[in-house]
Amino acid sequence: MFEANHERARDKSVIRCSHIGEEEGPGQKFDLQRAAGAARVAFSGAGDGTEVNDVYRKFPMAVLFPNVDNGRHRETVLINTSGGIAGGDEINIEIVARDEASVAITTQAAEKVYRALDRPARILTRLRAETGARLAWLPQETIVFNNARIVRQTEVDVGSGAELVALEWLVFGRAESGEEVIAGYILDTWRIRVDGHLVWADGFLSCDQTFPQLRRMALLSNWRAIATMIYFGPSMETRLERFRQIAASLGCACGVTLVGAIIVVRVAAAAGADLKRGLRRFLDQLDRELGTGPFGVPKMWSC
Amino acid sequence: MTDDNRELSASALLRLLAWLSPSFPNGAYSYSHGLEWAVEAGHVTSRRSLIDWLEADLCYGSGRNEAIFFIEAYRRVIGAAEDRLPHLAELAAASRGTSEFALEAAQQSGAYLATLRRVWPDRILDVFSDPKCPPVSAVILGACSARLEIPVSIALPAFLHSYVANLISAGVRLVPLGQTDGQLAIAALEQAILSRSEIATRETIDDLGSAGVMTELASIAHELQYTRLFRS
Repeated sequence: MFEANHERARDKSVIRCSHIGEEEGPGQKFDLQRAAGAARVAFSGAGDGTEVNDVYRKFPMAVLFPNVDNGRHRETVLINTSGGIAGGDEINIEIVARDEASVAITTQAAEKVYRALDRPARILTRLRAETGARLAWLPQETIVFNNARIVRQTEVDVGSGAELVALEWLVFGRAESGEEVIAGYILDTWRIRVDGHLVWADGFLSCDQTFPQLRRMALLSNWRAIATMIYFGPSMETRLERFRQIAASLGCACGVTLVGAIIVVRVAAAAGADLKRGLRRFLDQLDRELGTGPFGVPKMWSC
Repeated sequence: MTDDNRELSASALLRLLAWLSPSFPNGAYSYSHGLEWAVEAGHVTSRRSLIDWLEADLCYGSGRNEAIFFIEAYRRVIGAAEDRLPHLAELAAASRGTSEFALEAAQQSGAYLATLRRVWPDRILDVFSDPKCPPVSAVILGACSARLEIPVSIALPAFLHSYVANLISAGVRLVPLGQTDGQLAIAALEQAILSRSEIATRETIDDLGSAGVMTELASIAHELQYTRLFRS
């Protein structure tokens, strides 16, 4: 069938952009010890404060509760003590906010995804905000190096009456060394459920075949850092208007859209530092807009 | 499942032509998938830049996912796994990056379902009566093509061709370009349509994803575009 594409179809390396991003070849003979880490934290709260009900951590993941709480809110810091992500790593993160918990989660440092020999790394982040809870998932940036291979899934479950902000941001290459990412496999997906119903599904995908095309105008164009931020909460139409005003003030390309009962904020910038500046401005204004809560710039971003 | 030794009958071909015709009343002509903003912003100014924009979207952006939704629906119906259509349709309906992508998809899909029910009733369309199985054009047409046993090696390129041809028609009106330029653009995208269709035969819903960052930003910017001909 598809005679016109006959030649390309024979060369498997040209056409595969699929499944788990495995690279075939000599790399498969390596069987290095890889990380299988986990972090799980459950919070609950009442009007007078938020408490930690359950903490589970498995090396190389660690969880810190630095003393920056103001009583009502908790800032929790996740640490990948291995210093980065390599091919074959598996990390599972689960955050649960119940009752009136008010929680911000961040990471200690930027996550670096190194060149993979063969298998992709897998990160699964599950966030659950039950009715009445306020949850902010605000990790620092993920920097992908050339030939990094990673599948990251972020699964969010919110109950009506909860309020949630969730962010993930990707920086392509180390800016200081002028690194270009020209190959690899990055699949960064979102699944958002409200009261158990899937309302939004999304995935950024760039594989070995995509990277040489990535600078095309319809794709990444000249941006080198991108962010997706999700908001769910009350008064969505009003929030949309306000977020649009904030978006116009960032100094980055930023779009805000209300889709599938959530607000999606997309930000793109020429470098990681520009994106960080834009996100700081966004979160500063978000914090003022949403009133006392866990939604501002995490303290850890400034350490 | 999709390795077809099936032959395309003339009657099945006529159905496919009808379903994918620009005259099928799904309102497609009023949606530009963000192209109206891309023209406004100067990203698309010529036949060449229109081809580049649409080809990138089809092969690496939001268009590539449509091919996966279509072929997955086709596989499920051909493989007598129709009970797995709702899961696919739910995912496809949720896979809309922006408000206007969701609008154009919902409006066209609803119109597809209503017209097909009136003109070409088939039991597979009943699956979409369940609120857990929202109508999505790619899923409906993939399922209907399988019901007629149209080879997927024909049905999928035909579907992608209609997707692209509609956007070219929008581009011709927006840039603006001459009618011949429009046909030259369609001809230039044939290879990408065939290639994308062929690759999709080895993909599943685990391969869903898009690098169409600018396509989405264009669609979002279109929400606030002052003068607009198109609804998306």
